Parts: sequence; structure tokens; C-alpha cells
Amino acid sequence: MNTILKFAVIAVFIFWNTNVSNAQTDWGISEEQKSETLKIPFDQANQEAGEAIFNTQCKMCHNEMSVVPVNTRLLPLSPNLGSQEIQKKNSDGELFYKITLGHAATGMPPFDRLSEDDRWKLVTYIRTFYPDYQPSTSTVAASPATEKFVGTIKGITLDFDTTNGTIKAKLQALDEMGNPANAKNVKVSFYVKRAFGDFLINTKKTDGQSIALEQYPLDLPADTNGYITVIATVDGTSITTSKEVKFGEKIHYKNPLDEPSLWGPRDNAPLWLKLTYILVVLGVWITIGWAAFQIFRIYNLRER
Amino acid sequence: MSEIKNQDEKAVFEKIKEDLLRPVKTNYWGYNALIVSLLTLIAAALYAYYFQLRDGLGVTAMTDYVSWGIYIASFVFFVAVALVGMLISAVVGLVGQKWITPVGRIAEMIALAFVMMAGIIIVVDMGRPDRLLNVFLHFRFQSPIFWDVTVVTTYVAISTLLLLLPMLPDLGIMRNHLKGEVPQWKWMLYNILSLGWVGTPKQYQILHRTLRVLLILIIPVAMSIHTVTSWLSALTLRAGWDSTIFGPYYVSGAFVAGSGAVLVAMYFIRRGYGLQNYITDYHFDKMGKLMVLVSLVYLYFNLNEFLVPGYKMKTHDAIHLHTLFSGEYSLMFWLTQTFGLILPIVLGLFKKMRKPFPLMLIGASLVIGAWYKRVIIIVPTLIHAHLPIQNVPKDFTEYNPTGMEITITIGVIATAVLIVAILAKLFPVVPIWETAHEKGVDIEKDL
Repeated sequence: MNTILKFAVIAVFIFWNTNVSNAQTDWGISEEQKSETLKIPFDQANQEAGEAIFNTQCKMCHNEMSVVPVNTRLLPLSPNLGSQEIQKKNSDGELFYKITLGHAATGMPPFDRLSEDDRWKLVTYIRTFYPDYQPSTSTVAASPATEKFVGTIKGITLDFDTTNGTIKAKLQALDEMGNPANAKNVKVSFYVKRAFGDFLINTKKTDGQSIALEQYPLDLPADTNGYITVIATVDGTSITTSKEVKFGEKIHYKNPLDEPSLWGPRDNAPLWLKLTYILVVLGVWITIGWAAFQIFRIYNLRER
Repeated sequence: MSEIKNQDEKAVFEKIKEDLLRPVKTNYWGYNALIVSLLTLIAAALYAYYFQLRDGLGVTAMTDYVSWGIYIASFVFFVAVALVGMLISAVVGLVGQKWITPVGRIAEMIALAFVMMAGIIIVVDMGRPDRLLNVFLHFRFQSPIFWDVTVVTTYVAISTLLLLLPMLPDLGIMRNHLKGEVPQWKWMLYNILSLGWVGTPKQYQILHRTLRVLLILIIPVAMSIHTVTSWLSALTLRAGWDSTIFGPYYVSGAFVAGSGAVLVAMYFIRRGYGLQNYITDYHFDKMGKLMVLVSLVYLYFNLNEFLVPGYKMKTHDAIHLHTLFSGEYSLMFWLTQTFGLILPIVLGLFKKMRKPFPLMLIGASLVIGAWYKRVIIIVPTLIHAHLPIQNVPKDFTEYNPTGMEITITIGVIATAVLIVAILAKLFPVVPIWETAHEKGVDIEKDL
């Protein structure tokens, strides 16, 4: 009876324990931190800046906002940040400190390498997907509201300034009347072609001359000839173009077969192996040759 | 007094010489029948090989997956048996065992014949034997196949010397005493091979020194020939081959196969040539004990080779081991382990079993077991490739050697036996001078 009781207690304890640990992950965020509120204005500029950071830092695991992540190479799957449940459960402070501290068990890395301002910008961007959000800071745009381009965008061309490392995307657009026009404030996304897909480097808006400028991250590796393929896409359209340019760091592909190795071709046999082989074989065959010479000596001692 | 002793010695020597040279001079119908049947097998094999040359390796059962079949298994078998030359003459001889005198030359003959056939069967396994020279022209220092070619060639050279050199005094005796008793060409052969041996102290001194050097040299060479042969498999990641003890596992297995072959050869040579006074029950008893010793060592390595991965059962090892223990190859595996290893050890422990006839049966069981063991080592591993076997004909997933393949293999084995038979007829199998020396005859005077 006693034993059964003991087992029951242990079982309940284990069950309770696992249940608790499954229910919520302890992110180590204090109540004080949780109660913190947004530190920067909840305006368009900050939201767009947040989106740019999201695209390069978060999207590879969290996927597009409001789309359930499917990258099964990363398990456990990252949560869908557009989920209203998640938005509701987390305060601004919780979002900020989850980004800052990360959590090893969930695979979320700490993003304390981003500036505090950038992290708040991310919170701003995430909150744009929460209609019930009550921002604690001003929602008024710091900068004058941007006017939207009305008209048709016909095409896009890419130009490069290799000395400054800038990418220039120029749009060809028509206004409502069908006359050529400058497309201002149109979002252009810049990608770099990688082995398994296009890598987003930034999203920029066009200026008064229909031009979007982007600084190329020169530390990105290029191909073996030093070329990379830049792709520029007008957001929300299928208008896209790509061009090769000599940016970035040339890849120096090191063929392991070029070095002496046991698996390489014959000309790259390791020296120690050649020496061992030659010395051993020579040693044995010199001895055999010596033995053959002894036969000759015996023969010389015959009766003549 | 000294006169009587001299006459006595002379009589003893005459008797030894007469007994041991009788096989060289006499015609035996049994021997001729053996040669004829071996030649028939070889002719059949040559005929089959003609088809293999014409149509390629497609006439064998080897496919993309099982690319090593009974040819390579036989290659390993030949190398294994050939190692017995080193075991008897060098290892047992150098520790001072005197009983090897009538056995040593038989072992050397087997070694030479089998290592030569090891080279031949590699050529048989080649789809394009005309490109044989490429092995030497385009070798890679890193390739164990190239190391294998090197050591096999070296072993052939040393084995030839180790057969010829201790035979020089006998050849001298034959040159002196057989003129007119054998056909002229045979006498000419003895005359040339005897290298003008007259048995001066200087000649003996050179002979003994050279032999001692070669007997020491052959130990590392023989160890490396079979270790490198094991590396052909063990230097891969395949389940069943990926083993660190494959070198000693092969070497100890070789000693088992070789002792079996020597026991069989001893029995038939003793009976056929009527050498009961020279190859005695005492020699069989000693050989039987040696067989049990090397088999015990081999059993120990078997235990390690199968129990250690069998305890852990890593995914691929498990598939392989289940095939051997309870699957497709289980019958062959357990028969081989029983008749090729366990029974010989158990029986060999009893004095009654260490008599010529039972030992011959045990030896035959060991040799047959050794051949099947090589098939078990080579083939099942190849059937279980690491990558999934997909979109191939059904027969690619198994290996059943074709008649052609079996005929050719039997032919090569017959060639090895033929070479032993010819050597054992052409030259005295029991050294005359060493036997005489042991019986206290100073034969140097006689020559």
C-alpha cells in the first residue's frame, strides 16, 4: 500500500512538473520589465524601419508576419508573430525582452547586438499586425505623411556604382493620364541571389526622381569570379529585374583534392606515405636482391 | 670402430635417399589420375573464361551492388592459405621447433602455388584484363589495391627463394644420384637448379645465413600481405568491413586455412608416396596441436568481430548481422562457424582425433569452411549498401554465382592444386639433407 502511494505521489509530481514546463517557457523576464511600454513613437517611419530589420533578422525563422512558419529544418518551429493570441498575451516589454534575451531551449537567439532603438522598432512593426493595440506613445508621424504614388509602374532598371558600393534602381512609371511620371515613395526591395533562394538585403522608397538607392553589404560573398546577382523588385507587383555586378568578396574555393591527402589523386599523395612506401619496398627488395646474390655466390663455389 | 660407424651412416643415408627419392622416380597411376582430372577442370575453366573474355563480366552474377563475388572471395582465400608458408617455416621454425622438417617444404609449396593463384584470380576478376598494365602505370600511392599488388609480388619472390634455397642440397644429391634414372630433361633441370651445389662448408654457411635473413623477412611481408588484403575491405565505411581488427582477424583466419591445407596435403602425400616413416603420427599430432592453437586465436578474433558490433547493433551493422545470424546467409554462416572453427577446435583437443585420417577430415573441413567464410565476409556486406537500392532489377539485390563463375573459380583452385602436385612430384617433399642431418648422418662428405 505504502509503495503504491509512493509511486502515485511520484507520478503526480512528474505529471505536474511536465505539465508546467509544457505550459509556458520561462523567459526570465521580471514583472518590472514586462510592464515597460513602447519607448518610441508608433509611427510609420518607425514601423517601416522595423520591417526592414524584421526582414533581415527575423524572417528566416518567423516567416512573413501572419504566415505560419514552415521551416522544418528549425525545430521547434518559431511562432507565428501575427497571431492575435500571441499579440494579446505579450506586453510591449515582454516582446522587447524576449527579443533582447532570447531563449536557448526554443532556439530564439538573443538580439542584444541590435541597438535598443532597433529592438523597439521591431516591436513597433510587430504591433502593426495587432488591430486592438493601444500604443502608449504618440501615433502621430514625426515626419509629414508621405503621399502615395498614383499611376502605373512600367519597369525597373538597375545601375551600380562599384566605387561607393551603391545599387541604384530606377523606375519607369506613367501617371494616371498615361504620361511619363516620376514615381515617388514606391517601395523597392533589393535581393541578392544565394544558393537556395533570394536574400533580402533591404527595402527602400524611391525619391523624387523615381530612384531607390541602396548600399551594398560588401562583406557578402560573391561567386568564384567575384560576381553577385542583385535583384530589385517593386513591392506588391511582379515588376522585377536582376543584374550581375562585381561587388562583394570573391569566393576562394579551396578544393580539398588540391592538397596532399589519402583520398586525393595520385599526384597529391602525402609525402610521408610516398616515403614510407618507397623506403619499405626498397628495403625489402634490396634484401631479396641480396638473397639472390647469395645464390650467385653459392653458384661461384661450384666444382669447376 | 669409426669404419663401422661410417658404414652405418652410409646405410642410413642410402635408405633415406632411396625412400625420399622414390616418388620422383616412380610413376603412380593415382597421381596421373589426379593430374588428368585437374587438367580437365582447368580446361573447362579456360573454356568458360573464353566466354567471359568475349562477353565481359556480364556472364558472372556480379552487378552494380555486389561487385565482388566469389572471385575476390577466392582471392582472399588464396592469400590466406599462402600464409601457411610463413607460419610453419618462419614462426614455428624460428622458435626452434624441430618437428617441422618434413612439413616445411609442403607448406612452402602450398604457399607458392596459392599466392600465384591469388594474382591470377585478380586478373580473372578484371573485366578488361588487357588493361592490367594500367595498375602499374597509373597507380596511386594512397590505394590499398596498389599496396596489395606490391606485397603479393614480394611474397611470390620470397616464397620462391624460400622453396628453392633449402632445396639446393637435395638438388645436389639428385644431380649426383639420379643421372640415368630419370628422363634427361628432368636431370638437366636438377642440374641447373642445383646451381653447382657441392656442399662445401662455405656454401652451407652462405645458405644458412641467407635462409635466416629470408625467414625473418618473410614474417613482416606475410603479415602485411594479409593485413593489406583485409584493408581492401576495412578501409571503407561499410557495415561488416568497417572494423579495426580486420588485419589480425584475417591473419589469424589465414593460419587456420593454411594449417587445414597442410594437414590435407600431408595426409595424401604420406599415403600416396608411402612416407609413413618420415611424416609420422608424431608430426600429425604436432600439426593438430598447432591447428587448435591458431583456431583458438581465430575464435577469439571472431568473438570480437561479431560480439562487439552485435552488442551495440548500430543501424547498418544490425541489418548486416541479422542477415548473418538469422537471415539469408545464416545457414552458410553457422555451418561455416561450426565446421570451419568450433568443431575442429573441440575435436583437435582429443589425442585420438590427432591421428592422420581424422586430421585430414578436419583439415578438409577447415579449408572448405575457410573458403565459405571469405564469401560471407565479402558478399553480404555488398548486398547492404548504405544508399537505398532503387530502380534496379530484382536480381541486383542478391548474389547467386553463375555456372561460368563457379567453373572458372574451380579451375583456378584446381590450378593451385596442380602446381602443388607438380612441385611435390618433381622435387622431394621431405628434405633429404635435413632428415639425414637429424639422424646424425654427415652428408657433406657424400656429396
